[in-house]
Amino acid sequence: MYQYDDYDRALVTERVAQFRDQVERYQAGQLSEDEFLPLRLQNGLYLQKHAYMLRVAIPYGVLSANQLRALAQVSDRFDKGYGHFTTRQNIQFNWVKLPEVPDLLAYLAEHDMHAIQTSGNVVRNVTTEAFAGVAADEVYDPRIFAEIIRQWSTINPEFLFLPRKFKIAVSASEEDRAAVRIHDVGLYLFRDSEGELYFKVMVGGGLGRTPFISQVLNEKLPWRDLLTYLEAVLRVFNRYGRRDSKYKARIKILVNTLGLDAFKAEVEQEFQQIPKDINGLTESELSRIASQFLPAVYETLGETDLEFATHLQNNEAFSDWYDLNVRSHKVSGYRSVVISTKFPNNIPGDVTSAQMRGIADIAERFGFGEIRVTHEQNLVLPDIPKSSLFQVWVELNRIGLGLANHALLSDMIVCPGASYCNLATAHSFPVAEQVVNAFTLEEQQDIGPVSMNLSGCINSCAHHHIANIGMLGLNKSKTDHYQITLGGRQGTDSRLGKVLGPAIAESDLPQAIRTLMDVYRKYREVDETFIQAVDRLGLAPFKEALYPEAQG
Amino acid sequence: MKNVIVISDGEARVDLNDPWQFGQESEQVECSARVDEVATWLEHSASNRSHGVLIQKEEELELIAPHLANITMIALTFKDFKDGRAYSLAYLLRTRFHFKGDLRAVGDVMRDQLSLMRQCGFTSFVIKEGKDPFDALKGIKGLSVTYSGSVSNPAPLFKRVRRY
Repeated sequence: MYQYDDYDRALVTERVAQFRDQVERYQAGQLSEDEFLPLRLQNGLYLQKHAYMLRVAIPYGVLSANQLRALAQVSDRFDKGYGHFTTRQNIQFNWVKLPEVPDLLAYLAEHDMHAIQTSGNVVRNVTTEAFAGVAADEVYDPRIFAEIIRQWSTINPEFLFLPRKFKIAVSASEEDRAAVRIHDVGLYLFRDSEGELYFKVMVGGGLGRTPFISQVLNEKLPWRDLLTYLEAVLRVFNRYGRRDSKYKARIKILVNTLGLDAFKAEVEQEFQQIPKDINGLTESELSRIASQFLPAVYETLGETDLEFATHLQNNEAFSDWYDLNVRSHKVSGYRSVVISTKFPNNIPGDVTSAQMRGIADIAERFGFGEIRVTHEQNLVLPDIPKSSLFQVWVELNRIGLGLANHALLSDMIVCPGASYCNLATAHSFPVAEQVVNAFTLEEQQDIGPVSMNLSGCINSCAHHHIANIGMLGLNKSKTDHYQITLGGRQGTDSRLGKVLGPAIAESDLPQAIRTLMDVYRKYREVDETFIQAVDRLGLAPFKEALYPEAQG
Repeated sequence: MKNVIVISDGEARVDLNDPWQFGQESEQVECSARVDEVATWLEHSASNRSHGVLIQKEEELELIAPHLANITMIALTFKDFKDGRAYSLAYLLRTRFHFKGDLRAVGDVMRDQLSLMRQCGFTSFVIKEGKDPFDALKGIKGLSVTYSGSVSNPAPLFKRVRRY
């Protein structure tokens, strides 16, 4: 992973001192609530329902074993012994105390971590896919450009008081496992026929109460111009984005109000006027950043391992886990392991300090001491020799993390909900758990891959719009109700799900999901996944089954 | 103006004798010390135009841009410190329109944003009433490491220093 040099380290250390002073001045009454608010947000600190919440940055979801241990330490020392991994590949601590936050941040800085710009109207943590650098289908390692963007956007003085938050994602694979198209700016890295690197730049994606899938802003941007181009986009956004309503301030609204062509013309005009040499990326900067990642030194391993084959043959639980949670790797003899944080074993995204330490040990013992966070709130061990998989599985089970459900219906993205969050209208976790518990693992395996995301309010933190089945918590009279959407998906061909009908009472939700699955199981063709069946059948049979009374 | 911090020769100090006055507060101020709003400035005849001009809205930048040679001070308004438009306007005034005079931050201007303003090309700051300008001076410097380029330091870090 990226190794800090003295400049990186000096920046985070000075930032802690700066924030410590701001906290002290706030506590002494020298800074008002309103004056302090953006300062704490730019340092990742929210005020939630019961306590302050600190969101710590995990740049593009990459952690070292020691950093994960540091996060375990933070969980024990400053929180209640656990942390919550988020869809921006970050981690949140829900019970921190304001006077302790500077010490917490100082401790993180010692481990080359920070909470800068994980919140506020700024460029947020740049994300990419969890398998960056180990996926066989990538054209280039997207982490390298994600790190370049991270540095450029960190405390960039012109862009710290934008109209609204600004999210950037990078993907270098055809499939797109980084949900690029729901980002304010999404970057698809590709090579042309000459082998040169370019970006296809997407703009105006975002969920929330007005969801949009992004559109193409630039078909072919040379990689050297990346920062100059981002500067042009952000300057246009900073000057012309709406500031009168929080809900109309994202760049997606600007793009759709002006129209894509007019917006594109604005960006192009700005881009042409910026001297390209100033921020122009160079081969040497690219290779310097690449070398800071200390590429893993792989052994030459065979694909054949008889012991592994025996375990696979004799142990059904291991074999299920292997089928579902283990992914191919670009290097022969290696695999990537997805660690599920989901129901019924865990609360989605929540990992205890003991589990963090356990994962760190496994990553060091069997991998290269690296851990990834996925935007689906799971963790990944990117480089595990095939011959170690059985031991890794045994060790993961020992800490309650051996659940074999990756990409099954229980692998849900769920927001923390009204138990923690001021914005949420519904209590997400308990109802998601009831939905999951309505299905045995065997049933889930029979149903196969399906994405089900549940958001506790319209702000859509759990990305329910781009799930095959989305559930949105609404506050209706005394009981929580859930609106169900169908047909959404992430990836290059992202789509927003469509609302099936009136919201359903919380207690009826598990049965409603079962009804949808029954329709699929009744009509599916051989090897047809849930989403493929939805595409073929349309919404009608699902609607009819869910709302029979409406059909008369 | 009161509560003014100026940067001259790279040093920031509180200026207790700042000569500038807003035109709308006193008609009598001579051109060399007067700051007029853009609309007023454009209405005046060439001989009666103030040397300072106050930009309050984004669109006023284009109106005043052709006249920058006759202006020695531009005050850019932060109506609310959370509204960051003036950072981009400052950037444009300095790098696109090559304004060489004094660029002044007025309005909701406070200690914790001063270093950002300085980096975007501001050279003087009228600290919000009720805030101590001597305390605000501490906000000028900011962090010693900046990754991106800015008006005050155009090259990004990777071109400014040798990183290994």
